[in-house]
Amino acid sequence: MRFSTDHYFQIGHAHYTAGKPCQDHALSRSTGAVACAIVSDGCSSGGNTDIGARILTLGTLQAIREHAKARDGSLATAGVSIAARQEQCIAAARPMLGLEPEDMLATCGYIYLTQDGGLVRLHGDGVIACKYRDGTIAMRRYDWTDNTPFYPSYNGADLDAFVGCHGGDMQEVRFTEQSVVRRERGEYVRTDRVEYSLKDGIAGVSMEFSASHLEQIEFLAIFTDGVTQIDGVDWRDAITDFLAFKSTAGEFAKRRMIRGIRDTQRAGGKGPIDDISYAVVHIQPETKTDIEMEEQPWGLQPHEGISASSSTDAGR
Amino acid sequence: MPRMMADSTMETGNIGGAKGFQFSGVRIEHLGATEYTLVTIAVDVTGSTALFADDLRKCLIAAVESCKRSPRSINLLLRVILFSTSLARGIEELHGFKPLAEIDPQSYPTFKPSGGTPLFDAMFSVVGATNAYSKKLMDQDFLTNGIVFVITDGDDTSSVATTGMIKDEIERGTRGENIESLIPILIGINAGTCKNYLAALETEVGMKYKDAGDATPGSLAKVAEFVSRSVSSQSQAVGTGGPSQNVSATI
Repeated sequence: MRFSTDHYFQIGHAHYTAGKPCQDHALSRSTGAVACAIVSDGCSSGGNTDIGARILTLGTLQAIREHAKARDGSLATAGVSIAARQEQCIAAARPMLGLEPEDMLATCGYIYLTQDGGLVRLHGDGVIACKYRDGTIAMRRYDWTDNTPFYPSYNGADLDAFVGCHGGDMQEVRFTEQSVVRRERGEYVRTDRVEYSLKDGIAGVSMEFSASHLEQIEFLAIFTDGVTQIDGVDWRDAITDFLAFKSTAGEFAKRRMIRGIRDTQRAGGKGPIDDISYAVVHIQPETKTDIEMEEQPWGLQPHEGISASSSTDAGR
Repeated sequence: MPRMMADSTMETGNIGGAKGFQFSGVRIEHLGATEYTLVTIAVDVTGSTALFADDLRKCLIAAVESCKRSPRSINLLLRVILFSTSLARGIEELHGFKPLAEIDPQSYPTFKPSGGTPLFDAMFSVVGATNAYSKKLMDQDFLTNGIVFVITDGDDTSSVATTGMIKDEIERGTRGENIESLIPILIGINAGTCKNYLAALETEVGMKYKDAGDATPGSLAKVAEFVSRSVSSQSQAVGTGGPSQNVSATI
């Protein structure tokens, strides 16, 4: 498999009109053989959470880089390793930059793919979406009761306060997952809703993908919850539109989202009410050319105009 | 047939419905930005321009160099053509739509003016190619607008294209079908007795006419500055989705 990535983040109408900065951030990187895509959404009522969101995405990127370099081919340690590094980044950056705890309140979701498989993790809220080669899109939306998501920076007294804010009972249902599958013809099928306890929500979402499963996927994307708050647009339609890439060259995700948002505004809507961001990994099946191509170093974003392969039937 | 540069990053396109009118542009996979202003400059190299050909070339170089210094230069794609009946099919493409960073205007060849004026062919080529290339980009989620300049000293003497074809292409561009907005400008230099004829084309085809007066180094320097400021203005408008605006810069 060969991976390429792109990402985009944009201020929402509410922050734009209130003179606030965009508190979403997104990053993505690929060496060709390993890829990551990261998003973070700063708390609107927090402090300088635009900074907090960036520290989280950059810290997560660095954690993934280090894990990719050190790993023995196994993703088994990735989740724990990356979470630990995120905590170190938050703990180190805050005093260094004179930030307050409320500046670090931001969700974080990431995709980390290797030739052996992949891992998706989400702390907070947002949407994870897979677009398969046959055009089917599977989406999972995660929400917190009272729109009060868990933030990775919570620990100690902050964590107690968060738990208290959610009623204090760790077994109480406070976190929900909505699963939707959209067939290529356009119909939405199999809409499921699963409820999770506060304890499960704090643990976060974790998905693992085998290499064979990844080969069936054309795009794997992670969105902040801003995608569920686009004026006049159902979130499922928004996801579908933002994954309808015309090409995969250059800043393909950025172009698609900019264009998608403009189209909604031209139709009379205000566009995203909340800040919005997403990060995407494009998965290309291995070809002889891929085998001959050298890996790119981290830090570069190789943008190659390789067209999508034909779809394959996949059971899911 | 326009001479296309032998460059694997470029591809050739046709202006829809017009046999014999081709253009080249950088392949989409080599474009990194999300929005572009497509700029075209067409320069008259007919016999009547012989006396000021060197200054005309300097004007072109100055305009391109100025665009390269623009803060928006990475969002500009430039095509340059020469026109004269002495050229094969009346038009020679010095280069197709290319990022400014890849253009070295100092390498533009010395003009060798001769022949008559296929003005309508040049006008059709610049507008039609802009529309066609823009459609290609817009279909791939790029945002584009365009501005074209045709610099001439005389009226049309020999063209395949008609004023009706030019008008249709300009209307297609200004309607915002395949391009956010398009500003077509005809610049008369040393136009003398043809000035009124060129000005009348503004009404006939919808191409804004700007008279630059006599062909002196000073006036041609002003033309270069006008081109640069107009490009800058149009470039700042890309992505706003607004209709074509009048050019506020003057020569």
